[in-house]
This record gives sequence, C-alpha cells and structure tokens, in this order.
Amino acid sequence: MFAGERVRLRGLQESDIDDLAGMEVQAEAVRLRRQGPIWPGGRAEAEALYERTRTAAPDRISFAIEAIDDGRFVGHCVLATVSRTHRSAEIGIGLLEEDTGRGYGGEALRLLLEYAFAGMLLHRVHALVRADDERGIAAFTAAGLKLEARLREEALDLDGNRVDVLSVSVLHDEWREAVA
Amino acid sequence: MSGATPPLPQVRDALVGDLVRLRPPTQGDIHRIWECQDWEGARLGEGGAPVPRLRSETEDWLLQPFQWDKLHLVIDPLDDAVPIAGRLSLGRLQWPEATAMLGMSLLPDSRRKGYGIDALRVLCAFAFEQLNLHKISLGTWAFNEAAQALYRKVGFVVEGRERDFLFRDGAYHDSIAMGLLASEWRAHPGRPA
Repeated sequence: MFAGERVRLRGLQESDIDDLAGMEVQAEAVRLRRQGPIWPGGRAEAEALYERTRTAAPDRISFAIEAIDDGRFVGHCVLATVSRTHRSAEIGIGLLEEDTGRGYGGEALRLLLEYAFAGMLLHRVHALVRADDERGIAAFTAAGLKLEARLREEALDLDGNRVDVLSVSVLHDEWREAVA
Repeated sequence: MSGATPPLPQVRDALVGDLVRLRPPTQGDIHRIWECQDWEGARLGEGGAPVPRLRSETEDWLLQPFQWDKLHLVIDPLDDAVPIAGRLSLGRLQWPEATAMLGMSLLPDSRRKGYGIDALRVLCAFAFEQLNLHKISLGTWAFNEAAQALYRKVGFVVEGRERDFLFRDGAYHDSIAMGLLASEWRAHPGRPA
C-alpha cells in the first residue's frame, strides 16, 4: 500500500526536519500549498510541523515521500481534517523544488488515495489548489479529482495578486472504478 | 476661524442594526445556547457529528478572546423579546489573504423573525468596514434552502457544489460553497439588486 515504483510513503523522521525547513523557505512552495504569511523562520516552522506530525492523530496523518532508488526525502503529503462522521479528508502534497517533474508527485498521490480509500475507508477526498498552479491541477486531474468549486480570490501569488482557489474531489466509487 | 466648537458627529454603533445588536457572549448566553440545543439546529448547523454538546464544550468553544483567528458574537434583539436570538461567528481568519468563514445559528424561538438577516448584515459590515477583510466564505448543506436564500439576499454568491460533503439522515449530501467579496459589499452593502 505504501510503496510504488519510484516512491514510497513513510512516517516522518527527525532527519527530515532539515529538508522540511528547506521546503518552508521556498516561498513559492509556501504560497502554492496554503494560505497564510510567509515567515522568515523556516527551521522553527519545520520543527513545529514535525512535532505535530510525528505521531499519527485520527484527524491528521502525515507521510514523508521517499525516492525508492536512493532513499532520499523528496517531499511530504498529508491526509488532513479527517472527518469520521462524513468519512472525508483533505489531501495536500509538497515536493522539493528539485524533485518536481519526475512523476514522484503523481505516484505519491496515487498511494495516498489508496491509503485514504482502501486503508481508511473514506467516502470522499478533496483538495484545494490555486487556480494558477497548473502542475498541481494536472496532478489532481490525472489522479481522478474533479473540479467542484471555484473559491474566488482566496489566495495570493508572489506578485501580490489575488488568485482563485479550486476545490477538487474524488469519491470512493469513482476511485474504485478507476483503479479496477 | 470662528470660536464655535463644531458638534461631534453622530456615530452609529457598528455592531447595532435595525433589529439586533451583536455583542460578545456572557456565561448566561452560553448557558442559554446550551439549554436551547435542538435537533433542527444540530442537523442544519453542526459541521461534524450532530451530537449534543456538554455545557463545558459550549463554553470552551464560544468564550474565547478575539486574537485574529476567530470571532464569536451573540445576537441580542433590540426589542428584548428574548435574551438572545442566536450566535454568529467568523472563523479561520486568514492573513494576509484577509478571508474568513462565516457561521450562524438561531435559537429555536428566534427563527424566521428577521433577526438572522439583520444580524448577518451587521456582521458583514463589521467584517469589511472595521476588520478590513477581503472576503467572507461559508458552506451550507444543499438541503438547507432557507439558509441559501438568506445568504443570497445579503449578496453571497454561489461558488460551487461540493459533492457528498456530509453524511446526515442516512445519506450523503452536497455542500454549497458561497462567498462575498469586499468589492461586492461596497457596491450593494447587503442589499443587492
């Protein structure tokens, strides 16, 4: 369930903190991933992220993404705001800038969806993606997530322009049909 | 320069509307909100499991100081017909995006009396004209058509439909995403054409 051809998902380790800190200071990555300010204190934020994620909690499960060929940390992904009532969760994924464009993200996404639907028996998985994040939109579309809302002007780009956020989702039945 | 002092301008309280004023909750309000929990409120308003809450949970949830993350206010009718009509909140305040999520619920004896729409207009005005927010968003269950009609009346626009977003009454239901931008508010302050 946690290993594909190029990447595997594993729990975060203390040795990932430097890599996480490296991601946190890539301002573009911060903007692409979520709302909120860009802070200069990268390492502290990475440590806080690590502390929050090193033990699995039912509502938030984080993974490191590791390249199978050399065992390197290439990014992390998360199943967040897991609702046990609605059997739903939000997914998020972040790769190191130098490891984008190699198919790592797409495969990590497929593994994460398998974990969400087959492992956690969720009914719905959704993601929020900035409308100008072409790579992110392409990855989610390829993984079977469908556009369902355009949330106007909820994000910012690095030039200070307001950008729409897209809400995309895939349901359990759709996922099962696609992997069958 | 004449010696006469100009009269102080009459300033309208930003938290007072035509029918209600908004104010922070007191212990008594929390107790009333807790006592008045009913199935309709839970079914329509509860984001997670519609399980009745402990009084201490309700206190911990609503009695928090404003620190730019969430704002809880109660709806106090000016006619004193009831101690409070319900509550309103802005949550997930994001900065620097300046966005927030709106939540609202009315107590059983205060529904369909006009308190809700008045309170909503006061809160939106406060959010845009005092807090300098850029956008207010909300999600409402697809089967709650009364809520969608209310939000539309104040100027909220439908931005999408999230499929099978919640499980209630034995089935999955969609959620309707709605939003209101500061520019839209300035054009129609809560009374769109």
